[in-house]
Amino acid sequence: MKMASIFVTTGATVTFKRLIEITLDSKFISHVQNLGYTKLIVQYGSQPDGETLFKSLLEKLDIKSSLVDNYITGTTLYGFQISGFPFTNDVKSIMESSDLIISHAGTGSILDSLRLQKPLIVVINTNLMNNHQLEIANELENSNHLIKSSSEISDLLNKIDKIQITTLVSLPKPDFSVIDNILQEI
Amino acid sequence: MGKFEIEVAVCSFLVIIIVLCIRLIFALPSLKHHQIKTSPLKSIEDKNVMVLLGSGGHTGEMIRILSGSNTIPKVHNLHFITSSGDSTSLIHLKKFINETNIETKTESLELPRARKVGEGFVSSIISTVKSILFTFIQFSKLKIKPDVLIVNGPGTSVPICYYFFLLKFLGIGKTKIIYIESLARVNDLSLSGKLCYLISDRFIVQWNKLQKRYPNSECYGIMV
Repeated sequence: MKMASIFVTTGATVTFKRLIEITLDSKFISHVQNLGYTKLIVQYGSQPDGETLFKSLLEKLDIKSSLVDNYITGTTLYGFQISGFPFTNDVKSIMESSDLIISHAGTGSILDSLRLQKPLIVVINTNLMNNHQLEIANELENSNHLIKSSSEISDLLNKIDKIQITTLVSLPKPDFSVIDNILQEI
Repeated sequence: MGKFEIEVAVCSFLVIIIVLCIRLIFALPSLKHHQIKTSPLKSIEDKNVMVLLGSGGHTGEMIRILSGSNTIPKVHNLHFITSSGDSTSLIHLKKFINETNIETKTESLELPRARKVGEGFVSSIISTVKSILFTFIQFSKLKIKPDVLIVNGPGTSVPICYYFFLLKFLGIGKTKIIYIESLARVNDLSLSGKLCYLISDRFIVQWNKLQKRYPNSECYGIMV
């Protein structure tokens, strides 16, 4: 059996509660376990409400958790492992070892995932006012670099099914000679 | 005051306005359409380069841009400016400095934002003017006059860009401004971008359709 893992990131500053709620849902977990995933890692953000929410959702799933290497970790009755942590300076190594990334629409998280060429689903936070994050997600979805989802659990599950059979296009590497030329010319 | 004095006052006022306008036309980089491209007298390595690191996402993008550059590590006088209290930017910067092994100075300044999120138009003009004055004081204390300033659009960019433009307008500064708009701006410029559009020497956006809306901007695709 493959050990496939999903990484969920809500961004470090503002807690995207809805994303934590829909991924720590029994419907979500049984769905992804059926697809062959065995592990879920959640970055719930540095705000205290993120950790509180994460812990209460684990309780709701009847999971006894303990603190292992700064991760709050527990396992479901069916052997699905869930871990969570607030923030790391080395998010890339976690992304590197993940097989699917479900992220908020922050530019940093999107770029980190795409530069590592990981399958990426971006969940849109409709609660954010003046939502230009939606623009970048739209644009990158149009060019097939990622798949976008609403924050409804049914939509997210559809998109997880879709990403299993979709070949995403990798993001072209940036041309760093551009900034060098600008600096030389100025 | 007699009629004559009023006429003199009005005339001198008009002359001052006209002189200021002419000076503005010469100072505005966006109006230099027929600039002859010659290689600069001083190479970038010997110039004083200042980089502004803003909040979260902006810092992330700036570090991505700089970390790919072959020129930045060769700059002898490289200064980073961060807002005091912005520890996340400092962590990113430390990591970047360690990885690239560059020599640089970092100043943490108390930088006011040009506007608060959700502020109205008039009050945002007032707070912009206030923040320019505050930045003016901060930077005159700092005594660094960079040849090149690189910003990528956090709220703190606006007063800093206007400060160095003002020095140029007054003929006591020569800072060239490179403005790089965030990748998150696809359809329209940020407010910072709009405010700095005309006073930047190079204005770079990362999406072609945005470049089409702003003809003075340049686009080379995604830079981060």
